Amino acid sequence: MDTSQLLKGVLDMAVLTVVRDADAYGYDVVRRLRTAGLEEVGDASVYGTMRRLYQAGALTSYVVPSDEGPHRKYYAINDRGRSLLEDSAKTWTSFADTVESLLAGNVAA
Amino acid sequence: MTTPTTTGAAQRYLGAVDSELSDLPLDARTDLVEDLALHLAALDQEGDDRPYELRLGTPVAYATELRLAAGLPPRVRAQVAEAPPRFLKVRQDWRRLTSSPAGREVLTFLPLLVPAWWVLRAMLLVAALSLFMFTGVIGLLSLVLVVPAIVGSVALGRRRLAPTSRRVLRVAEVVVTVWTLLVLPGVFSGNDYIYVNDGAPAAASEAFPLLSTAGPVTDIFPYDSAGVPLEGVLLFDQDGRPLRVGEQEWWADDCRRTTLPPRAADGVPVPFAYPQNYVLDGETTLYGGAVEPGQCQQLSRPQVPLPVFAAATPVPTPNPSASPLPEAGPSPSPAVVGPS
Repeated sequence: MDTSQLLKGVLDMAVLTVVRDADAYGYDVVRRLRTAGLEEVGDASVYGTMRRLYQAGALTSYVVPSDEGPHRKYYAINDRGRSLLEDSAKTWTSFADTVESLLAGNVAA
Repeated sequence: MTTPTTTGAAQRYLGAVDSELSDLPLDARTDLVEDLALHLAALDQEGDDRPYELRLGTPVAYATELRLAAGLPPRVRAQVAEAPPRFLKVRQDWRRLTSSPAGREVLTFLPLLVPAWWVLRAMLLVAALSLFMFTGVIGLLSLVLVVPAIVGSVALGRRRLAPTSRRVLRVAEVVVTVWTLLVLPGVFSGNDYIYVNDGAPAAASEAFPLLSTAGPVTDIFPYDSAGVPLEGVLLFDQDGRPLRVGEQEWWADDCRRTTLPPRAADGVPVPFAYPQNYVLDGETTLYGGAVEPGQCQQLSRPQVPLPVFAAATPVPTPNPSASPLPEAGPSPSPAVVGPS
């Protein structure tokens, strides 16, 4: 099954989860998502999602200079982001349970 | 905008994505491009030398995906209005014209001019040949050729030609007429030579992205309103894209030079800050020979006339020719600060 369509629906939640665990810069978010198993996630999708979440006030950002290379723009979750993540997680869990139940053959006659 | 990476491939990819985002508000576009620049720099540090197009997709695909994920509207492209083919309209106009009373009168009169055209086309042919050989219109060769050419042309006109031959003749007439009419004004304007093609690029390219009517632009020398030469100036076009110039490939002293971009406050090189700084490159000339002592000249600004603007306070007298360009070493760094 093509997971790219599924991914679009849950990318907000995935990005919020990654930065909830630790502040991260864009490249780091992409890498962590892929390490977690979301290998098909596109770099542009991640950056676009972060930009949208930042505009929506769910993320904050700050710049950290680096001696070894270019500076890094870190993204951090805030209270609004945590609240959004909590709501999304509930919706996802409920939805996943429903589909799982459906697949298990529990269909009301 | 801080540019964290300056490799040619990165600049090209960034530029292409930036172009795809050119319809967005400047702040959104700046943020997205800056994020991408940082991302490319991070990718470079991975040591993976695959092209960006392979790792990230084409710039168009990247920009499209970015817009979609960011909730930004799709790119607005200019719509081409549906219009009937132009040739149909021209044909209709022609029919309307030739079916009018005046048009019919002209069409009746035109055959009377055919012999005159036979003479004229012979003269055009001789002129074309003379111009092609750069001997001038009124030369001995022309005088010798023009009479037999007219005789031949009239004889040819009186013959009934096969359709194919007639078509070939029509094409030849058009070619000769167009060639002669294009080049003839240059001859009569008193030019000693006729330049058909001087080799200058006709359109901007990656190597020469900025053209003026005089040819490729390879540097820019800004002055303020008081005539004071400015340095480390950043220039942007109407869409906020930095103005890039081509690389100067030839120098009057035959010495080899490369550009030395100034560095921003964070140490990142800023390409295309004007005027550009150059550093002498090696000990060989542009043609591979050894550089002679004293051969390489210090560069200076071109001497230009500057207007005098009205000023409330006295301004220093400009003297552009006395403002040498730094050949090497530290240069004033522009205040380049990336958006937060």
